[in-house]
Amino acid sequence: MLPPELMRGLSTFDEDRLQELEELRLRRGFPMTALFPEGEIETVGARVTEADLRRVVESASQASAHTVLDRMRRGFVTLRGGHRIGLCGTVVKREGQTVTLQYLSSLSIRVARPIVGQVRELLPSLMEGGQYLSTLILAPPGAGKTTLLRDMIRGLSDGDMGQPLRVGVADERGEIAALWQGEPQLYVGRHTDVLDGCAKSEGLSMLMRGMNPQVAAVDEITDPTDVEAVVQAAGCGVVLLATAHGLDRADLERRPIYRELLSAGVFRRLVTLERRGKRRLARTEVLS
Amino acid sequence: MIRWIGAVLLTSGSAALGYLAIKHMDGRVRDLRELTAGIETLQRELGWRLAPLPEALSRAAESVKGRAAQFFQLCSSGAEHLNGRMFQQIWRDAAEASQMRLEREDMDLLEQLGSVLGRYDGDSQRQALEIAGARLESQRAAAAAQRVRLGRVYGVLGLTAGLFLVILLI
Repeated sequence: MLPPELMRGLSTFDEDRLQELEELRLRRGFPMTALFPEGEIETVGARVTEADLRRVVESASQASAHTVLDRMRRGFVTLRGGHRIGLCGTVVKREGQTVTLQYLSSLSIRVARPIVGQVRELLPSLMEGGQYLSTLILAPPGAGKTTLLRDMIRGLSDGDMGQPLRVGVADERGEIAALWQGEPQLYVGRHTDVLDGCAKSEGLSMLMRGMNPQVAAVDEITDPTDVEAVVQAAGCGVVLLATAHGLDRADLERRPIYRELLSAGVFRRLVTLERRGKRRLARTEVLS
Repeated sequence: MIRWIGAVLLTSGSAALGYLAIKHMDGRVRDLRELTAGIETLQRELGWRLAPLPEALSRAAESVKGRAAQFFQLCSSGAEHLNGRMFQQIWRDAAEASQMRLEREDMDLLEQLGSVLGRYDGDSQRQALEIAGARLESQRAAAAAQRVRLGRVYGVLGLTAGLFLVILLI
């Protein structure tokens, strides 16, 4: 996907080092940087141009802008393999709606690296009387919330701790299963149904109507409509799994939309993630 | 004897030139017809189904025959593995590699279309395909009329030019 002149910048890293690569950052006018657990490292090579950024996006979408426009308007594109490109530039608006990005200024290519099985030791803490409880995963950006959520979905769907459950995923940003032409690029279990590309509220209600899930999962609750959708879904008797940005419970309680979510009593377990170097530590807290 | 062999070779060579000119005109009409049909398929696939470009091009390749099919197939494989190249370049290279028997004005139309495909929303691409398809169809109609008008002339001219040269040289 990278133009040859930018690919050369990666050739200085050996195979083992590239296994640790988390993101590539392309900022117009500067050399490309590679994000590793210890931070961003500038690669050797030419400065990134606007044409480079366009070529990356065109390659990533297989020259099919019409298939990714909706996501581009929301600032990202999902790639085959589950990787994701975040886009920045000048937003063009028409009648108050974002139409496209006119001039690209930077891209962030996030490398998808699924971790399978990490959740096994965590699952017992999310159960009560043999039943799973609705769980909220909380962590700052980049700490691995979506990775853990995906593994949790897989664990419940494959029956890691008992009977497999039907899991419905409203994958608004396409980061959980990373559907590529209908096929999940990241494994989410054998009993999982994925709906991507639509808002959580719409996605959850479609899943409830059409797929009769026992567990419903959404990524990143960020605004009041998400909270409303989650509260409504909880009323249908499903176990809910979701993620949110934040440090800890106190941080959640400080913010009005999460305060509302907590007071609704939807979630009974809170999993916080902390990153220590290359390791991610998960801790479960009982909410109710 | 040698003189007669030379005369036959000269006449048949000249007639072959006329025949090749006719064949090129036939080929252009055929390639333009298949190209237009492929563009119609693309129009449906991109405009209505919003299919990814490689898939739409592959369907266009399946819907037509000959060099146009090869052109769409080359574009489809290229779009699937761009590796940092722009699709416009893939489209241009495929038009040359497929050796379609097109004139400069046909190639210019294709070139314009290549700069739109894959870069805009489905509706804009459908409109561009519609316009390009209509123009290529009118080029095809003109090429077919030219074939009727000039085909016999080239055939007769090739043969008579050969005979004329033979008379002159003998």
